[in-house]
Amino acid sequence: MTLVLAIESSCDETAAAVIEDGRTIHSNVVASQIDLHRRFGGVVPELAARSHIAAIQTVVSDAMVPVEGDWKALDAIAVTRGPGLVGCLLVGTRFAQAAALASRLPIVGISHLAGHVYSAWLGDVELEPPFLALVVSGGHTDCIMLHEHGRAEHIAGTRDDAVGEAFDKVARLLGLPYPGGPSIQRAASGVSPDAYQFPVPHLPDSFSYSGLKTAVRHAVDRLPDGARNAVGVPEDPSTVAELAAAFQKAAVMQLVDFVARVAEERNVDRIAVVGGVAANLALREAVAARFAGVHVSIPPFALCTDNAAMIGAAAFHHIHEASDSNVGFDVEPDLLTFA
Amino acid sequence: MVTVLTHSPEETESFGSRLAAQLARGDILALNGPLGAGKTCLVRGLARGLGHDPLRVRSPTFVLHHVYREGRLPLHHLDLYRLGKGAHTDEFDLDLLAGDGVVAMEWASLSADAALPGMIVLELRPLEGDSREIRLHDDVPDRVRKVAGEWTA
Repeated sequence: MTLVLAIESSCDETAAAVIEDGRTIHSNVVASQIDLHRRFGGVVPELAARSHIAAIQTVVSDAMVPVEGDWKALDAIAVTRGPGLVGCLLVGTRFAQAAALASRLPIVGISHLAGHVYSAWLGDVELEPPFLALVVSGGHTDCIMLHEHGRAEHIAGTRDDAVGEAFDKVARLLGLPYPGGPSIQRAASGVSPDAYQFPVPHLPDSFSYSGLKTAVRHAVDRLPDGARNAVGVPEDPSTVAELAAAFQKAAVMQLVDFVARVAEERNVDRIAVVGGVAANLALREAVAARFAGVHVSIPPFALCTDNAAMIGAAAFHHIHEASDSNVGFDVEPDLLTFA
Repeated sequence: MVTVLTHSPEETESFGSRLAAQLARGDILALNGPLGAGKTCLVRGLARGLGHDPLRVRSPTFVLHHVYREGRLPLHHLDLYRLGKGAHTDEFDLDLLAGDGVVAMEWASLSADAALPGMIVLELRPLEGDSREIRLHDDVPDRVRKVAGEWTA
């Protein structure tokens, strides 16, 4: 039996989890900073890092409750080393590294992207590699093939904006609240997506969301004079709803079309959709409709958003890299790879 | 006031690439303009002109800061969008970044700090379709104004 304490602090969540053999969750604790960001109308990196510092001791202590706070019960520590905000990553890694030194435990740095891919494996006992994972969130739009445990191929990423970022930015164009995913879904609910036609790029090896964002802006700009309020947002709620629905349809179609093509080319019969945008109902419905004969795995919401359990799951397959000599590794805010 | 017109994302990128040839360590570019104005596109051109892989340039909105290092000068790509109105650029230690290479800051207009002396300010504005207007502030250095003056796609 291998027991891992995992720590994640790459962005807005301070999180810790104790995971057994990569798949049994003993604890999964998350403290979110979303309210803090809302209060300041945006992210303040210095405050975000300080908020991680303020939360991490309590979050880790809470996660350690199932092992009664006994560090000797653990076999290793895992921590997200990137990508993310540098100040935020530093809090988690330095805390984990100090704990590893103090408790003489080996430590391994994990890619946040690998964590997201492994959230599917963690949430579905029937899912084993090879499987195709679509990682969709505010910071990610990635298609990854997990050939076998610990061996992944990055098939595509975004060439400009992430899909979750597009939801947030289009929500702002339409005067809908942050975060954009839930508010666009709510506005688009029950509304025909065909009042506007937005572009769905089909690129061979990447996603692109910048053009879609610009197309929505053009559509807003083309509304007749008087249809927009002082800050340029459409006045009429039904116009907002139609734009939101058409945007959502195009955003989802690009993802599903891409995955469908790769799945067919590679004869894949297992697909995972992970990350915060996996909570989107239009995406879930489109995936269910398109991949009827395929094993589709979408983890529960608590594993889709940032959490440390997924880092612990990924770490189980990188445990041989855990070291008690290379404790002071650096964070990698720009990390693009899985390993 | 010098104004440049581009008619496609490729042209916007191409202008950025030509601009890059005139940039030196310590230059800080402020890129302003609404969503979809072409700011990231222009930075992709800067990256290409500085010898970085332009395909690596993505929106830094989520993590606020990307750095590209493989070319002739490091390029620090910043984005204040998620910081919101009243953002403090001292979050980034701009002096340190500018001492390392070229800095391109999207949404610089959200900043609460007074414009830094010597900052090269570009205002991007979407026109009809894929066309964009790029206005250079009057106090940009001559080497930058010259690129704009000689611009033809």
